[in-house]
Amino acid sequence: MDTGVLLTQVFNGLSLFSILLLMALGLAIIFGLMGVINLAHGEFMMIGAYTTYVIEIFFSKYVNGAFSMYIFVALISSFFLTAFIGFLTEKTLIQHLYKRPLDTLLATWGLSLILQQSFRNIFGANNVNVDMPKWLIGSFAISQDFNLPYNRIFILLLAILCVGGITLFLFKTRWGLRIRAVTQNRNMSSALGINTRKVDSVAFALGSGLAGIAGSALTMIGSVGPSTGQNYIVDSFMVVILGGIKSLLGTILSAFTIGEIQSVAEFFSSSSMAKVITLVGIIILLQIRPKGLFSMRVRA
Amino acid sequence: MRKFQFNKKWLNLSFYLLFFGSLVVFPFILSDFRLNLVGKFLAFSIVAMGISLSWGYTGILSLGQGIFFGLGAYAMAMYLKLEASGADLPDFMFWNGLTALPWFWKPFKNPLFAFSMVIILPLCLALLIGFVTFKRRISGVYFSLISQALTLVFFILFIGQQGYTGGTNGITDFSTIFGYRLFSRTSQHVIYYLTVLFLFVLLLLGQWLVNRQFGKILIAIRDRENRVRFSGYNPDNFKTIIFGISAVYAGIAGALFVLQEGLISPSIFGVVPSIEMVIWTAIGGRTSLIGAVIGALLVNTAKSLLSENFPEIWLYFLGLLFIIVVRFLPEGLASLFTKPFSSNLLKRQKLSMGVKHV
Amino acid sequence: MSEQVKHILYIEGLTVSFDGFKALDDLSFYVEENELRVVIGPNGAGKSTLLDVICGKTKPEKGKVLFYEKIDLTKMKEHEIARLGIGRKFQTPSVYEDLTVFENLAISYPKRKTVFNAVFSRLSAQDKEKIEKVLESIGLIDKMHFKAGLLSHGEKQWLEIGMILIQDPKLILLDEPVAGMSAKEREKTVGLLKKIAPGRSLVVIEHDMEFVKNIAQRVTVLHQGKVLCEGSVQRVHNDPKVQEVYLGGYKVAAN
Repeated sequence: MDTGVLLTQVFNGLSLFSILLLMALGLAIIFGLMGVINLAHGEFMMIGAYTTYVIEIFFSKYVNGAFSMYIFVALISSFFLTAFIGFLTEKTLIQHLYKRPLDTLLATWGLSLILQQSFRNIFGANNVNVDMPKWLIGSFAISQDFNLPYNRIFILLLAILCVGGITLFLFKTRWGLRIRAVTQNRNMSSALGINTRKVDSVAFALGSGLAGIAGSALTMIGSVGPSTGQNYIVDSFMVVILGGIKSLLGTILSAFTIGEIQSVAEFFSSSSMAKVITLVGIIILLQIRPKGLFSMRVRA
Repeated sequence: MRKFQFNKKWLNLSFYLLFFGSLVVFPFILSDFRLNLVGKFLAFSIVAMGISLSWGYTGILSLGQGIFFGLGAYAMAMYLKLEASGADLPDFMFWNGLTALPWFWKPFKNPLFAFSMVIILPLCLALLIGFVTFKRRISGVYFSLISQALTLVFFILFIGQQGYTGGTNGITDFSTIFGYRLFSRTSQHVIYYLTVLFLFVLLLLGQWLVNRQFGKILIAIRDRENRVRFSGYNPDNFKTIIFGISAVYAGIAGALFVLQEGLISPSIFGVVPSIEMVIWTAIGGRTSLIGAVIGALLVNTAKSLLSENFPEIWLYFLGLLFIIVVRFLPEGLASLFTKPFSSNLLKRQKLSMGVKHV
Repeated sequence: MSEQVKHILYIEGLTVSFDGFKALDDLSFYVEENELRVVIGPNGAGKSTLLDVICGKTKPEKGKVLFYEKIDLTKMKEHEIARLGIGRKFQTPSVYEDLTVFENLAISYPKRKTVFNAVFSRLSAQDKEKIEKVLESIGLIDKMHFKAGLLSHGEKQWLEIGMILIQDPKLILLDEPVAGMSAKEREKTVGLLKKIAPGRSLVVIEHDMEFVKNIAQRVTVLHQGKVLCEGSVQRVHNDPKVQEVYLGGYKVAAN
């Protein structure tokens, strides 16, 4: 067995883990808070990816001198643009479907169709490539056949940074406190004077913004196309379900599990079979722990 | 009051008569091409009725009806392919280096076996999925997402196992059934009427089911599953059974579809088509079986008209349709016909009884 | 059940915890046949959890929960427990809004609880008669063809009581049956409960002291997952421990 290649695959699994984590974190916050499943989350990710693409082109054309720094501008713009679109979605659509989770699922799927088709019309049906700044190209060689590519290290750090940021936000700020309060008991929070609608909007925007960052990160490891988001959405939901809602640690661990199973299974079989193995594995795990791996026992 | 209900009954009856009457005369007035489309849409309507039973009445939103549709379709296609290949190995198996017919293909030479598999395969799979998930109290969006993941699994498997399933191309190139040409005018008319017959029988069956105590319990489970448990029912059984029935509807529809389309491939039953099936039901009205039928016919007619002429607009249209229906017409088109009556009636009752507004 | 047993409900050493927090702590609780027992206690005392355990919604960590002193309820599923003859009414009215009042009761009828029966059997004239009798006793006979969603809050509560009544249970568990009711509705509910009580046992959770005084034979006070005191209304009312943890806040209302 080729240990170096296997280790590389394990490390690549960390990139998938990072992206799934960023995706699932947003979904989990939204789902935990509002019980809403946003099937357009994958397309929100693509908004981040295409934003990065546009900014990369802009920098290479007009501000080539600062090209090495474009990625930071791209990350920040991806976050805010996607968060803004998420905010609008929540205001115009989700808010009216409160307490109808299955309907929200369908409505957001409709939104995802529209977004996908718009990507196709604006950016073309083919995948686009985003050029990396020089400092992200190349890799850190540990042994002859075990390399750590810089871009993948960067994505991992980015994910860690975001998780840290979210943790701080949720546990150290007033808005974070409000989100946690409403997640635990909506009626009580509302009675205590928390504007739950506003909290919903903020959380939805935040969750969407994280998807935007995930999309931006995705462009660093491969080409992206109008339907790329679809490839990640099922997996991201599986992360949320497996992690058990309302558990930050659960989301992290389950993203890690799924990312690694998928990447390592790819080493032993084809990538599509790896997906089958992962999904079937999750469904079996859910038979054992229907409320997710890390759910708490609470009073119903 | 009496008279009003009497009228409504006649209204309903004449609607059904008109609907099935026009289905019966279509072969005499439509071109072969259009008739073929209508026939396929009618097959889709059967799927939509199944979704109405499981989602509209019982609250189980399956995003994986495509799996069952696909299983029914493949079971039928396997039989047709074997008939077309005669004593030879089916062409795609030969291309993929298979030298002998796989064991699970062999019994499909027998039409009775193949036709019963159209029902048995989807039924057994749905009962299995239902049994394990409902027993573990996995429901709501969890169930929807898991069914979607399963659809993806099936999709990938059917594409990946080329030698056994024909891969991306699926099963194609069959042109006879029982020795008759499949696409002759007569065969297609027979198949069309068969589809109408199935639609009619399955509509009656569904209607009968929801009118029984069984149907009331389904609604009760949809709205308050816990209450049902504490009344001494085991909702898991009811949910499993109705999910199985909806899968059978989809399976039969798949078989009828193959007979009119002449091929089946994974792209017809994947994740996106599966969720599209839900919108047929949503548009027509999730708690109305005939509504679901009409919904499937309308959406697919719109799809064929739009995507023939403006393929890009179709997706925008479909997306908007989802949003608008869910947002503004959650009970679908059927509610336009039934709701004005009943909601006025309720209002009047409320006023006259002085019942507190709820 | 040939031999005479004293307790319809026999609970000993019952412990339930949620993520470290002990909702019920080594609780013992006995209900006799034909007894009407009221359980009171401050929020979080474990009252609802107790009912949840009895009807199978929550599985205990340890402890015995026996029906007629021999059927172990902790090993059974909700619907099996319901079929034994234990009926549960929830805190918020829990009726099927989209079905008519009549259908609500027809569904709850004790026969036909399997899928097969639900599909193939029909209500007999006798069944209909029994349903109508229950409709009369809960005062909803005029509204039997209304959708339950159109009923007022109080009417929904009565309908739910009717749904339990029609199962003809041996033991009825009621969680705050008069919460949110007007004075008049309360009175009617008390009458209803008194009417249905004979021949079966009732366990009622209630906060409303006036109501408790009106119906209770024996009262159990729960506090922090344990029985604090048990006895007649008078005795409980005069118990210094009870006054301290619970009635303190209610003194004005209770006098």
